[in-house]
Amino acid sequence: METKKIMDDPGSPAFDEKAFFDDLQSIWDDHAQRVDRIVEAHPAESVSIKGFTRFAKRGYKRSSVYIELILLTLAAAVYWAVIIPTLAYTTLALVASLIVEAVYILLIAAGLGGKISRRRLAAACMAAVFSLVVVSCTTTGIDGITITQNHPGRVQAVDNVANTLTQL
Amino acid sequence: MLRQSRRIIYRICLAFTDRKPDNVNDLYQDIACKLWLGWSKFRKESDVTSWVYRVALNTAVSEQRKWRNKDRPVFVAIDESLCDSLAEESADQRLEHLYRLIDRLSKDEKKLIYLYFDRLPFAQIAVVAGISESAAKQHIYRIKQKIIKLHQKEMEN
Repeated sequence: METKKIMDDPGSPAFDEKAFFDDLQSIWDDHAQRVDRIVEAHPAESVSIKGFTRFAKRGYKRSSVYIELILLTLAAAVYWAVIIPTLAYTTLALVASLIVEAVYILLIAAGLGGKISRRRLAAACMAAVFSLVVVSCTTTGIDGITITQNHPGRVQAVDNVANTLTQL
Repeated sequence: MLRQSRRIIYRICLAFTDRKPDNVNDLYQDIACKLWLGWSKFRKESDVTSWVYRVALNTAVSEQRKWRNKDRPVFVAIDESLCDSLAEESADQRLEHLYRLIDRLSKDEKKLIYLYFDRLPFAQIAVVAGISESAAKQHIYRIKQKIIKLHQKEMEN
């Protein structure tokens, strides 16, 4: 193969499309043959059925999402429990805290999985909703009266957001 | 099946990674796992080679899992020196130029041109890609034109 052919300028009249692809093909064929020889020179790999079975039982690329979801829910619940009573007195503060939580959840999702995928984002969103429900139920059950008395704006802010969402 | 297909899988691993031994190994494990899990569902509507190509290429272009060493499953005990030898073999200037052109194509285009360069007949390319033979020919023609344009741009730069 002549390297010159490949380096020919496709814009020039001398450029030969067929020769160009013939050259690419010959590079590919040479490479494929050498790879095949290298692979053949090494003994065939032993296949670990045990490894397959263990991994298949664990669930390939699936079960980890549920674990992430649980961890995210717990993390988000902690966030709501700590931040909301002190911060969300107004609708604006509640929206701001939602944004902060979104970033917080993204960071956790990235930390858990190493990469943010659509699946992890979906899990993070579900975690946010679940945690809000969990914390709302918990705070109402334990000291909802205290919070309402001390921070009546919190309840009003949640109502405002709910009303806006309903109107949408 | 895995042993018979190892040459195909290694070639795909080299074409769809950055040719670093660890990444070649990771993709090989991923493909081996997908083939193993899919083998029981293989309906033998196509020949085994086409099926291996389809599964391996789909795995190669899908989101790849980056295994940490301690997490890396060992489905297939790969000799490390083999991955090193393959990485060395791929460090060729002309080959890098070719890979650079292919890397700039979309995922589907990469799959089709890979099959074309691997000298599969159009009928088999169509089976692997799940399209008609005439569509495969049209796609390959367009991809070749795109490669020429990419090469042209590279020459200008």
